[in-house]
Amino acid sequence: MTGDQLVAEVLPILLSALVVGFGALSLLLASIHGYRNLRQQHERRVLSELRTERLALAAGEDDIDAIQRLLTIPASYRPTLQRAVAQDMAYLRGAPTSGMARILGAWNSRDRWLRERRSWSSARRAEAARALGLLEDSSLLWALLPLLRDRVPEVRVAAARSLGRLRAPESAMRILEAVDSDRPLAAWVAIDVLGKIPHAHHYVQQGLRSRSPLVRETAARVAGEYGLVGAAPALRHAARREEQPRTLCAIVDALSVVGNARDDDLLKELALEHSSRLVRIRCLEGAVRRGELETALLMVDATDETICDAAVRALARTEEGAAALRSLHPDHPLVAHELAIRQLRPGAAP
Amino acid sequence: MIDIAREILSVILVWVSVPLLVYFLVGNAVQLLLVILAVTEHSVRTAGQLHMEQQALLSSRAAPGITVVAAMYNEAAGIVVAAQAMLTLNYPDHEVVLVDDGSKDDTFEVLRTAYDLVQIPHYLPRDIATRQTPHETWIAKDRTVSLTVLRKANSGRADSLNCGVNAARKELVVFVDADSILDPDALLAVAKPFADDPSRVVATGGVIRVVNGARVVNGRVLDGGKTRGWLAQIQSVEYLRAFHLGRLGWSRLNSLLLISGAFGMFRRDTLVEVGGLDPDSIGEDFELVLRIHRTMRDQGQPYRVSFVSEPICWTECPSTWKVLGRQRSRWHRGLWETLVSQRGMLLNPRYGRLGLLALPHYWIFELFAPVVEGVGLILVAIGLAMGVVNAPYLVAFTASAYLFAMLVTLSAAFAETIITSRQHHRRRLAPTLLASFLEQAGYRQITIWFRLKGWWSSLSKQKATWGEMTRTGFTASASSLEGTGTTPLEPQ
Repeated sequence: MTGDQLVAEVLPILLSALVVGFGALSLLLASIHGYRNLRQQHERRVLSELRTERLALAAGEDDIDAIQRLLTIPASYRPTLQRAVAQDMAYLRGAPTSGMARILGAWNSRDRWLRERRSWSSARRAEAARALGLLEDSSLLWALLPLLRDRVPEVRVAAARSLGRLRAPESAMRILEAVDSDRPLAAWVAIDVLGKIPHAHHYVQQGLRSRSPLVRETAARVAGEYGLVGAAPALRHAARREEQPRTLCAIVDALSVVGNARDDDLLKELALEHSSRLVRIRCLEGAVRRGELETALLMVDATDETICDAAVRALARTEEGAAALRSLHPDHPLVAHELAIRQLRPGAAP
Repeated sequence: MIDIAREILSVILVWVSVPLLVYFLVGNAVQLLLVILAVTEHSVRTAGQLHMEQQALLSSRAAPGITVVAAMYNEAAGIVVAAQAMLTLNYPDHEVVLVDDGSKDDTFEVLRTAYDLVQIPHYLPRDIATRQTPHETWIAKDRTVSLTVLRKANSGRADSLNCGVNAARKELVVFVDADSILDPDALLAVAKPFADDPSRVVATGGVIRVVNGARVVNGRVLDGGKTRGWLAQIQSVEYLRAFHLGRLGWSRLNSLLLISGAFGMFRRDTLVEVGGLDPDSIGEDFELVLRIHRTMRDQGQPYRVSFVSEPICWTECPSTWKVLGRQRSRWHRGLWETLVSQRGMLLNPRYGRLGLLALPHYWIFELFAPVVEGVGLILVAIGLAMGVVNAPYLVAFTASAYLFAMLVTLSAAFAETIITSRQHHRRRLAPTLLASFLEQAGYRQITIWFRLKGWWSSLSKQKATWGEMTRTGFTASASSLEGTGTTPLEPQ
């Protein structure tokens, strides 16, 4: 059979298959659109009728009447309502309430959520993780920890946030280590969550000794973000040993917040001598933040233009720094530029 | 003589018919596979709650700072709406840098009046070498408005964006077209991958959708499912398949080659390291991403270039054939020149799936597509005229090839219903179906000519030009800024 004959044989079959496929897909698409429109109309109606109650719950009010009304909705709408309340809480940046825990308890959903942790659907597993956290029962720690290793990122995030709600110190190192694993937890989520867990400086110290640069970096960022003064000795020690520039930057940033006068010498030394430009810039910025201007003023005359610019910008951010620039480097073009910005926007800073 | 010609043509047709059919089927099968991969990528990365996590990033202490950079050239018609949209994006820490690339109209004056701009002593770091250095720096007098405007002589979009990068003060830089509008949560969505994986993600792209005919109020697109004009409708469907799902699919394979210049986010230090955009390249966005891939792989650094399907950038697509022709010629020329400049990566195992899968795909099914299809059409036309081609066979052949393409487009529309959560941006089904048919029955064939023209202009070393994009502006209602948290505009 020649190629042409083969094509002639195959073509009609192919064409028929394509026509059927096209028709089927069009029908499927139309059906889905129709079903979705109907479903969304229903959901919108239900949710808008309960809007006041939803917002009361999301805002943290323990309104008995609102809770009673929310308990009356049909079972098929409960997942929709729960998602809507969680979304409202995200918008209002509210904390979960005992009202939410009461609703979930009244729906007898604890066992159901424990089962749903193993669902084939990642959306359901994520929802189960969120719901277990909303129950605010610290005995559920064991149920949430394995979800930190889920294959889907959003499930891991939901589990981490729920562990944060439980405020269990035992979970802190697991959350920190999850940042650098084969199924990593988003670093910013870890930082957000770890801030809620008490006795933070203990696990920050442990984290700074980790083999993973990303874990060390995250631990340092937690110390800096939440002002954990107790972590200063560990940060100091880590700064002397750290070889990864990005991680060292995070440590230096944290030290500039929680450190004391003895750290000024360390920052100065790193700013003047470290081989990484990134580290040098962060150290001079940290020194200026601590009120130590000498290092940055020295670096205004650096041969490396990028470092020179960074020094001017760091100094221009503070009143004393700006005054020093005006008197010592009045003709420097960047100085005039930065001081003009400072005058118009006092809070402007990279 | 004619008989000999018929004989020769007949032999040629016999030889090319099978390869042609295989070419069409394989090309479309790859597109279908990308659609499937796109759905997988979306379901793995979101688990249905992406929006909530984006809102959480809004209040996170770890949200990275972003500089929005846009180059302007003769944008007086819509620049204030666009600037306002950029300034009021939902993000905790962002600034906007607009670079006036020597506009000949009153683009700058319009901005200066709207935002009460004040000139400050000019200074710009030289992290990226630029051809034209800005000569003026203006900032908004209102301290709540983080807007910087640079003025420079005309030197092209790429050079202007490089100037914007030099002026950027934040960790991340996002390139936006001055005539585009971003969805309010667009920055949250594209910044999330960077926050999730700060040590690896170096670039992220977002979805581009067609805004022609959508209602725009206060710089926000309210009803994105509506598109006016059949040419725009067809392009909308094309963008869905190629720019949205195609790129999401490649992102699944960590082989995303192209982040659209209309909406792409990069680490500032990565941009500086690779030297920014190439001012000589007409496909500068494509060329930049390829260069990032090459640099990262050559250095052996773990990295990721990703694509996020939820954030949307709305842009006005060409509404006339003339403007469409110029655009497609330019795109194809950029494709050719960029692929040639980075040909060392092709089929090179050092570049992994990029070199072994993505680049060959682009060479065969993007670059050579107009040649293959054009030759096929010409042969068929001559064959019909000379009575060599069997008409029913031809109909079946053509129908199969194009029907498969329509099926792929329909699959893309189906996949989008799974991926997109925003109801007010859902496409109207009937126009989408019709557009997927019209795309294959005329539109695609006409663009073959445009693409070949662009290719020829490069081969014959003609000077590359962007041409003028005729803008109709957005369908806007009153530009009141009440409740947006910014200074109200005072008409002069």
